[in-house]
Amino acid sequence: MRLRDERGMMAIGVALMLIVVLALFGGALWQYSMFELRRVEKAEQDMQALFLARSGAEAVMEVWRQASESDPSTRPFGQLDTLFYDHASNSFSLTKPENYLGAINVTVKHEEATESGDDVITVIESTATVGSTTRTVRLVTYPYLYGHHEDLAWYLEDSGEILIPKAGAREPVIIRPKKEDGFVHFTPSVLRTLRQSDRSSVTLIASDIIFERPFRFVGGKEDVVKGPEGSFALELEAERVFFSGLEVVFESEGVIRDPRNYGVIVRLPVIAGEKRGLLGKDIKATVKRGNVDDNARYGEVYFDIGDSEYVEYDWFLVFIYEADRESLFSDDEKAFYFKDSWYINPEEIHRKGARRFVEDAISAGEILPIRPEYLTNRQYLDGRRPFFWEQ
Amino acid sequence: MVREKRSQSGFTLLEVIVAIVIITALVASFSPLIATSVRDIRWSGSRTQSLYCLRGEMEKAVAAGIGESKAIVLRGTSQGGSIMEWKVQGKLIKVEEESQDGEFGECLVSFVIPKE
Repeated sequence: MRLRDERGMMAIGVALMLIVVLALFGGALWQYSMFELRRVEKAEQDMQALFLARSGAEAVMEVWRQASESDPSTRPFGQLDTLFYDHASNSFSLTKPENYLGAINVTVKHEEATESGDDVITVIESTATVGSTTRTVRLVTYPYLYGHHEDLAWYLEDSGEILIPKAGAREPVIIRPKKEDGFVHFTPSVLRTLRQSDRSSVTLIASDIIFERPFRFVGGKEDVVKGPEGSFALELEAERVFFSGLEVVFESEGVIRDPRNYGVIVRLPVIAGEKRGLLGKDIKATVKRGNVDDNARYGEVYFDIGDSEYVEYDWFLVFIYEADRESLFSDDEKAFYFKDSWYINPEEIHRKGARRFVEDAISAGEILPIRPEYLTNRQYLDGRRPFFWEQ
Repeated sequence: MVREKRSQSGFTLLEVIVAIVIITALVASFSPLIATSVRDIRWSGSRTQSLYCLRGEMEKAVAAGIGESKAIVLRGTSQGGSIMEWKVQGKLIKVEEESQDGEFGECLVSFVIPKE
């Protein structure tokens, strides 16, 4: 066989073509298989990184929740130390093991809630790195819920006028009308509407109710004049109620007028058929004085911001005037546990006087002053806001 | 009609043998590459499928909070500004593959706080 022979050349050509075809096919297949292997490896690391990131976020959320209940100043904040998952010991460690599956970095921070602007949300951001893959997950608190939110419609944001509410909430609700010097109050027209429908109260339901402006039952003496006769109450159904000033109103019986008795009732919410609040036996050590009923349930009510007063109106001929104004609580006792349905009844205060009314309530175990070191503060409420996974 | 005489020329036996040897050598040299590639592609497919099964199992275990009781210690700065350590009790969940050939030794790990 001679190479210059045309037949031999053809054989070589066929062989070369075969080489090229096989090389192309083999190469493409090999490249695809390498790509698939890398993709699977990446998917595997990505999945593991996701679960590790979630683990870190959940652990920090639990710490946040526990610390919120005991001492909010001990809640984690900022960048936490890196956490590693150690293959050898099957546990998480703060020191870098030789053979670790992945590393988790968690940061707790505040971010402005975009809608309200004046509220911040807490963000737990957890980043896990497995191999060359990194995954980040975020747990975010819901922004605070405001009583003027359209779903609740507890009051008008601009004027602070209380409405007949649309709904309650299971989370803390803040009552904050727009005007800084404004207050929350009933209008005579709402009271008359209630009277027409044979109702004597408006009930606001939430886990916690926080008044950031004073609550005055009426806007002024003119409202008392126009307001319907009889008793009306604002019922607050919550485990904790925070006032920033309170006025309950009583108008004595006139010659041609029946008395007006406008007060506040605090109740414990019932969730899933179970009454909320703390058992008497669990709060005994935190009570300053008073008779604790071991088996009764108690909520908390705070009057520590602003003045909490009883206001009495009376008539002189055709003129109504403010006849009495008394502080309800002494300066050193403004935070109480309350028994379900404690009624700040202006008519009773009218008969007894404010201080006597409060002392009787303490003696009867209806309210119990809380020792200063056990007071709940607003930071605790921040910890009560539920977290959700941000997509 | 005179039929044109066919060419008697063709490949010699030697040429044919050489060609067969070359082709065999080529196929032999490429076949491991092709076979490995095909095996790897098949492995990737089954691995992907198995990963999604693992993920499903993990999600179920996380939702149920079933796992070994473990504690995590976290360290960092508190809101009060002090360096603190926090211990969190939870469940360590490991979901491993049940591969018959035992080729896939990997597993997924997660830590959850069981819901009350």
